[in-house]
Amino acid sequence: MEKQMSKVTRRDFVKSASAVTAAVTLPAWAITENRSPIKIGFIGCGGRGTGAANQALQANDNSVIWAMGDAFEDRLTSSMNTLIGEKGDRAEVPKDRLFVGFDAFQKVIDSGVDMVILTTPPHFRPEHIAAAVKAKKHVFCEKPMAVDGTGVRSVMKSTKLAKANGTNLVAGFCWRYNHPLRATYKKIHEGAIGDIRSIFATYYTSPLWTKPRQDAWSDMEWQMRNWVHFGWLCGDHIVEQACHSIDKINWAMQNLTPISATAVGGRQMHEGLERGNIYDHFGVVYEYENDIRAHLHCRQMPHCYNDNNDFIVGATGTCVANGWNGSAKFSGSSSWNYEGDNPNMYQVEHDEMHEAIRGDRPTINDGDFMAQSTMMAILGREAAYTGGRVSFEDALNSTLRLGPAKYKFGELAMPAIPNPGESRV
Amino acid sequence: MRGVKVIAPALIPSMLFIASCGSNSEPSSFTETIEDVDYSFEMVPVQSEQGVFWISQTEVPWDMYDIFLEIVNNPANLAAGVDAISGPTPAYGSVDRGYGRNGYPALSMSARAAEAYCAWLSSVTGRSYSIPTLGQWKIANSEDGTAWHRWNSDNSTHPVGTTEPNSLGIFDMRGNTGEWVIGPDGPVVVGGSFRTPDEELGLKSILTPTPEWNKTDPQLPRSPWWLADADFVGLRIITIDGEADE
Repeated sequence: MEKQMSKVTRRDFVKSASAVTAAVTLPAWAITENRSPIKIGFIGCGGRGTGAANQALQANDNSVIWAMGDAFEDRLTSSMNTLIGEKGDRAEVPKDRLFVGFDAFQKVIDSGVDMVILTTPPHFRPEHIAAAVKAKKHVFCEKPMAVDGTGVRSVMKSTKLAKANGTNLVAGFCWRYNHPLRATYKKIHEGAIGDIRSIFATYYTSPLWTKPRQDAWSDMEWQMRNWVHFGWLCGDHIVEQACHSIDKINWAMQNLTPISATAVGGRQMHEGLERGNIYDHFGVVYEYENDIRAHLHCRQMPHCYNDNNDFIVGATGTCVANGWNGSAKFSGSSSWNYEGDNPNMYQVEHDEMHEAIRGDRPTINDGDFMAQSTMMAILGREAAYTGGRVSFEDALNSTLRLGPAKYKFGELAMPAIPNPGESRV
Repeated sequence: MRGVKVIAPALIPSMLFIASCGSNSEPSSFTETIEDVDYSFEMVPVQSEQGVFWISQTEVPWDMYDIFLEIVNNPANLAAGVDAISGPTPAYGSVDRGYGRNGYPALSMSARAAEAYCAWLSSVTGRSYSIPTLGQWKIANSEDGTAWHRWNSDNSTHPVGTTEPNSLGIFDMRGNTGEWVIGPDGPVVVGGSFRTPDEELGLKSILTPTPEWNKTDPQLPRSPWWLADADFVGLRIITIDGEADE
């Protein structure tokens, strides 16, 4: 039994956020390893993970994929073949460093790697981050970083440890690495539209892919291969996908922690076992101090109008930021326009990470904002699932832990669809 | 599948120009119907040296493309066999970029997806559909009518059939979205789009696909069906089987 975790307060979040800018001393090994090849451990070899691994190889000619791990051998093999097609023998991993199974992550971490790419379904992320940070590996982790408060508390601990160790912890909240949006939020934080009064963010999009069940698949395998439809694996689409919009709310609010959230949500269009137990729409209100509110609407339905924008209303002006291309339009007190470059943000994440590993820029630790943005997404989901007005602290300190206690391929009951007013945080 | 409710784009049959073909029977436009889903669209005759062909009066709107997407991704159809129906898997983001869905032109499909679409449409209508050749497209493009282009589009596509048609009665040959055609060296995108300056529309805009059109797909392998960085690409269809049901 794990020892009782001390209660985390909103104040802790705010404090640690302000400590981000503290000077970081470059550890000696970062300098000595300046020119030695970077050995990448790649854990979770799906489509996005393979893209990230390719970007890590692109970022540094001296990097190699050293070890790979996945729950499924077929996914691992096809991923490696794709990477070899892109980058040749730098992605050719010998058999004894290819690991399959639920414990593959630890074997990859222990194989002598310098950094890891963590791109499994989000359910597993907190454990993987903890193990990698504990082993003093540099970490690139895709969003979201957890699916429940228990996971977020673990990520917060790992964040502190990575800071103490001076290792990089880079978040796949890719818009943070988008040049136009960086300039936009800098402008907002400099007061271009005055103090933020209200934010409305949308992520209206179409349903995601499904993989039809095959006879040979156990319940567990079927759910894992359809992970974007199962709450315990993906956190629901508000956590898995609309977390981008929530992260941008958090970005605009400079990591200020909301007090609470209320929400509506439901499952109107999703039908059938393939669509798991997640909702297909949410509407969340995040309440901040001084009666400031941020609203999020997200939807995964076919044949509907799609929209992905952030409408940020300040005391003297507004900014509308496009969530698909990062362009922004200011009005009122500012008519500023971005006129810089716009490199592929997915590549920028890895370019900057490798620069930091080489010591060409300060160590990156995205832990504070990535934990809070993930927690805000979970908070919104919990508010919708329960029908309650849920405080940030209660959601963060909840003992809720989604998913089976032990991971093994075999029987796993179809998870229930939560009913507002009946479910509990 | 669940019934798909779709809204046909605004069509103006009275404006159709009936091409003179110099033979005894003059080809006329016809309405194609996809019965199972209660959707129909208008095909306009165009005379060429090789004979008459029919071209869709509008760019293919999402309403029509979504039927295809829904069928190829229907779990029951997927379970029936990998090769039963081949077509686009859903993209992670929204490929319509928020420009609009119902009545707006489908966009961002790869040439392979455009061809898969035509193969599917042929299978459900019994008529052989394809994307035009560049030569056919040229004949159907009379370089007149009005267009959605860079200077009037507000950086967005617009519903199909909302400009003045060209003198053959066809909408948006120039502008709105570029259109896949089969060129001498493979598929190219022609006509210009809502991103193209007015003065460069039509045949002045012939674009050869490049890897830049799908550079920022965060997944690897990159989608063979969707172009993450080409929101200016759409499609239009033709058939030479126009009179089969006349």
